[in-house]
Amino acid sequence: MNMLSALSQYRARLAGPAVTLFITVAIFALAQTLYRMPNPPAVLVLAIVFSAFYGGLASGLLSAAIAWAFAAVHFSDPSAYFHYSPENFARIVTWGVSMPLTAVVVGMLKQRLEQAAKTAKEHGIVEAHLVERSRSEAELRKSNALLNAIFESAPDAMLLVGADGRIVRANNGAARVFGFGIEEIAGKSVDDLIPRRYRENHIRRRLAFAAQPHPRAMGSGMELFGLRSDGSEFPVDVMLGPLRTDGSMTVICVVRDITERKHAEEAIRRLNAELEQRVEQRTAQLSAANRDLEAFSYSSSHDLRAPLRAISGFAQILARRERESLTEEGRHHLDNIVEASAHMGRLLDDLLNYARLGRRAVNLQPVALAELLAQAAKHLAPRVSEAGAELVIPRGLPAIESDPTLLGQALGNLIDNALRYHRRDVPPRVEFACKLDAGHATLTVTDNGIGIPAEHFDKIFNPFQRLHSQEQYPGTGIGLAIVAKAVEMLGGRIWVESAVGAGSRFFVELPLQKTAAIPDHGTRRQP
Amino acid sequence: MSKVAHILLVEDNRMDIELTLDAFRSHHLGNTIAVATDGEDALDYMFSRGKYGDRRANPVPDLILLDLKMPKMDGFEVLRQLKAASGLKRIPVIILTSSKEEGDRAVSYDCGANSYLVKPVSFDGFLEVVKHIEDYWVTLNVGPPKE
Repeated sequence: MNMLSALSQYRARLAGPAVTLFITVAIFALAQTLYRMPNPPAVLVLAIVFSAFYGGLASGLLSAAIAWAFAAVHFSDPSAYFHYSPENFARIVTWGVSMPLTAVVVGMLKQRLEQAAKTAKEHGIVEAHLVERSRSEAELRKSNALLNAIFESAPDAMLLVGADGRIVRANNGAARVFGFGIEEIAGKSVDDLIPRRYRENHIRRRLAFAAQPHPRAMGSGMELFGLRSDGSEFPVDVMLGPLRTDGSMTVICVVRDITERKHAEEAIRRLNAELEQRVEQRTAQLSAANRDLEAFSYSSSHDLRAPLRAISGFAQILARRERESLTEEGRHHLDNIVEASAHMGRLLDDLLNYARLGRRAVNLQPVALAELLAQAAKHLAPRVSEAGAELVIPRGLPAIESDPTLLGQALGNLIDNALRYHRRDVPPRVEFACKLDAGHATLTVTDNGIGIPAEHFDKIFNPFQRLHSQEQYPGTGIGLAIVAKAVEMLGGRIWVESAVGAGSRFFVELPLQKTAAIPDHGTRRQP
Repeated sequence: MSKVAHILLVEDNRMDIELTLDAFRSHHLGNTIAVATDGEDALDYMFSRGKYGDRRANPVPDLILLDLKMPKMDGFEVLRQLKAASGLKRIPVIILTSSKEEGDRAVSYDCGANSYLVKPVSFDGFLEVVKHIEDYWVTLNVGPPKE
């Protein structure tokens, strides 16, 4: 391995002598044939020149020695060297001196050239260093100028503050924000830029910051104020950034005047407050209008009862006592008055019930649905019996937080509705169910009645909305409106799914605050 | 065996007065009925004041039928003053009104009403109410002793 590397190292030096040896052998071989080289020494000189140039002085001398030995053997009798003759002498001088001399001259020339090249290279490196340094200095100057420009042209006040609280440097923004000259502000204590009443607290905070420096973003939740040279105060946001240089600490302090922002915030707050007040006023007005409307509705329906009672009462007295003295047509008209006043009495009663519902307070308490439905069933028992209806109330109904009166009225009206609108030839079947999910109780009342066309699904919950004539299905059309109002007062919603001739299912979804399971005793049926 | 009572009807509506009197007359029970047309008038009668100064012509009633909504003085105030007056406070007072309001019912009983009846719209209903009043309050009920 070492020999290989040594060979590799000396390859350049040995290449020249090897070539010279090859040429001498070639000339020697040619000399034994018909093709004799006319001037072999010239070729050998060239080989020495190249050997010395590329392999150096040693290589050149070795080539010269090879060439000389060949020339001596080839062109003369070796023994002749030991006998003086002018021809031999000239030959010895020619071959013996010129060949090594050629190697020496070429080797020296090459050394000179190498030295010159090395010097030139070294000179180039130094030059490059100088250029590089000059460029770096220019860039540094440019960078410094840029930083200075940024520092000076920043819209915020920028202060470099030493560990002792003295301002080392301030920018134009600082002078503008605090109202000092730029020379005045440098050297001041940063505490002088704080209103007097906060100064003591600020010094404490500054010392604490110096003990544990950490970057602090702007507007970090503190209400801060600055002090101008004229003594006026202004709200500020402050950003602090500790800088460690040469073992000492400097703090870069960016101060932003937020007077305009505060004014804008104040304006927004004021507008919000005004808006809130306006909404409250409008809500109060609406509530008052609603109360007035309900009071008017109640009062008018209440006051209408007196004249209606007179019409109905005296018409009945007439019909009872003076009937025989009237013509057939007169009796018919009188019967119409009695019938119409009776209907109006029912309408007024329902209107009163509807208006009364809106005037009462919601009284939330635990309501056992099973008990509530049992009461409703008891109340409706005569009608259930009369219609031959089946009322299905499942066991295991929960208790929910609700108003028993409102919920009882809603469920009672839904059952009443199912009993009222049944198919003539099919006994009514009313089934109640309750499903609990996250936050809601959904109560359903399902019947096998006449059903409701889809286009009337919303309309049926409006007061006095009827889909049938009095002759078909008597009623006032307030029952479902009362259900909807009661459900709304309980914070829930109501909807219906129905198909004409296939029955209806009413859904009442109520918000669920508290529930309690009630023991399951199986399904009850009330025929 | 039916008893005969003297009744004070306190009612401002002329037609309701007529209907009530007619209903009483329809039963032919011979009860006498005096009518006061507002609260102040009722108190004048009860305290024998003004035009009602003659107690023999305007005797203390055995039963009072009292409307609530009346001009000058409402039924609640009449009730309060009657129930605070010695010699009158034990007289049964029946509220006869159009109102089904919970609040009206509560205040009436709080002020000492003995019964609360809602005026029906139909004359048949009126007849029935009056009949029940006579049956219970005049015939069946044993009145309070005189103070």
